Amino acid sequence: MASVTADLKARGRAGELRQLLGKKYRYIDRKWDIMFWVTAAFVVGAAADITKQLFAGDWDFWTDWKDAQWWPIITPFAIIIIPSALQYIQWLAWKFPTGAVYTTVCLWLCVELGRWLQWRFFVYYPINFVWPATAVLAGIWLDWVLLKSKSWVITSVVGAMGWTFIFWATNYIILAPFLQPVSFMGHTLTLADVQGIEYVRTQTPEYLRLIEQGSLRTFLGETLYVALAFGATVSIAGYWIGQFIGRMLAIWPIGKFAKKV
Amino acid sequence: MRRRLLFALLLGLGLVIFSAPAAFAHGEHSQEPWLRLSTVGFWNTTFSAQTIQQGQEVTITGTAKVLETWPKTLPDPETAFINIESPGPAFLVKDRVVNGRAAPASFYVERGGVYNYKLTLVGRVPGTYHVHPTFAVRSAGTLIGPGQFIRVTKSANGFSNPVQLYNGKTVNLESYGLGWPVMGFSVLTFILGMVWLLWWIVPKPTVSRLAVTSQLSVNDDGGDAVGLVTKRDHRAMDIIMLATVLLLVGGWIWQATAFKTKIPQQVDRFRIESATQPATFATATMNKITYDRKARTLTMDVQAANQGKTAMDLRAVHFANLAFVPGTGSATPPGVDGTYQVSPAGSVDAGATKVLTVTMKGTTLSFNDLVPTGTANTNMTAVLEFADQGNTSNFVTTQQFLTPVFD
Repeated sequence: MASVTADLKARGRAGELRQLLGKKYRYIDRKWDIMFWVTAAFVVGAAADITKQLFAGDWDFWTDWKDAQWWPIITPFAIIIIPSALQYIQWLAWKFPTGAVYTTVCLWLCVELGRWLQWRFFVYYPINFVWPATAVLAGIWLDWVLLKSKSWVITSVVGAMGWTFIFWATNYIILAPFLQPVSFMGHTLTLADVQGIEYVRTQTPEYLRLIEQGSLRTFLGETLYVALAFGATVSIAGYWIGQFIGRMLAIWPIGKFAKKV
Repeated sequence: MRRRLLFALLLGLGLVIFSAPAAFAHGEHSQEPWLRLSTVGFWNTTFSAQTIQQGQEVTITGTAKVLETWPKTLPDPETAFINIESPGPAFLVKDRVVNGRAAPASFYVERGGVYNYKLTLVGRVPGTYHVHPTFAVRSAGTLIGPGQFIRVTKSANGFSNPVQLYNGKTVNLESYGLGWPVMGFSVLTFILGMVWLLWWIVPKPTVSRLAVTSQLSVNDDGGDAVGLVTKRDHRAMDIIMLATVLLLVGGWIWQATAFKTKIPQQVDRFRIESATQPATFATATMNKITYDRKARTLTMDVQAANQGKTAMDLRAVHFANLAFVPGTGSATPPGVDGTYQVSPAGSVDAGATKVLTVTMKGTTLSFNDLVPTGTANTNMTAVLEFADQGNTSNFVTTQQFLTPVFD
């Protein structure tokens, strides 16, 4: 009996919320939504791009830096931070599983615009050398896991680990043609190496490249799989850094200073 | 008032744009004098052409030495990379030979090592550029050699960069892979992301949803009953997720079949031995070096000893990337940066030791920020080039603390 009463109460409550969802407001119309989504795109794209450049700049700038060891570790970690923050904000505020996709789409627009305008047209680097990685498919995965699990912990573990694998797999497809061997200066190099040698980067001496450096590769003798596993773990940490940003730097201050009606 | 403000803004903008002088240095003046003088010396730098067309070659040859006076305040020189200083990829580096060996990447060096380099460049972007060879050493930075303006003129055929792959196929590296997969695949991912986003933000209001979501806990979306996230939404997202997986699988199969042979990025770094030097006949010690800023004069007292069989002369004095030759007039000969006078005049006879006073007048050294006055480290390193009667040269590294003449 009690459960039936509770059930009826819950249904009543749900009905009220459903009605509230469809309510038309006098002063709030779709223009507010457009304003928000469009203006936030600049801030979100910039935040994601700056975070990525600070941690993983060179790995995203050049094909000859996109190696099998450091690229899958550092870049997914760098890029997951802001999508995680936006996931928290957009799920908490609107129950939209769109935070990661929104961030990665805005990031994609920002970086493509930047690479074409700044790197291609202003400084003449060919885009097939300086193409930016895309994290959109990884963002779709991350939002999908949140939608299904409604759990931050599951999203951080399953979502972030999948984020790393999908990020690497997506961009490896683009990188593949540039890993073909070439005989250049009497050495067998990749096409990506040749791009790095030929297209002059004055203040980036070749020895700055981190290729097969460190002892990570000695475990199991396989660099890539270890790097992916380590990158997945590090992305979980990156996810929670993003959660901290979303909770403590975005939502909490609003709650502290905004009046509750 | 508004007109005055507008006028002030336009005037300020105009002054900023039209009063800024052209930048002719490449940042080397920001490096401390002791860093540039004591680390790497450059000499015999030559450029094969001053004007080339797009696609045409120009070679830069010269010698760079990792000086014996490498500062103890820096880590020992181990890894180096020879490159050029140019505004972006206005040129392509097509070949790099160091001491007769092809050096596509960095190489391992040693203190006192002499490296004769030959860089083959191809003009790519039309324009006039000041180009320098550079010698970068890990943990010390990039040391810049002598520079020259090179003009790249436009070619009627435009510019392409053909590179032959392992399988014999030739591709234009300027645009290879750009349409697909670089932009094509990336745009597909963007489209999929937009579909996901638009599904949520177009039909459903955003701002007003807060009134409902603020009454639910974080882990509760209300289900179909509330309507925030419906079964239809779940189905649509599952379809997009499936499309994502298919796109990935399809892309993966494509790259695996289209590019069966792939290798990881290469690190072809190896030790290049110092170039063999002619037998030593000249030794020298810098006893004193003074600089009189008012008189714009640098004076060096050098004790030079000739252990060779013929007389020797001081042919040149090298400071970092600058070269000075004997001369009396104020005009600087082409290809060098200044002149000096030696007293007493005349050669150093075979078997003799002579104290030479080398005087350099002018502002070349101070203009290039190579006179370490006002700094904590006033060490000056000069490479003295002595030549015997058989035209063989010895490059002798000398060092002394500067004694400035205060005003």
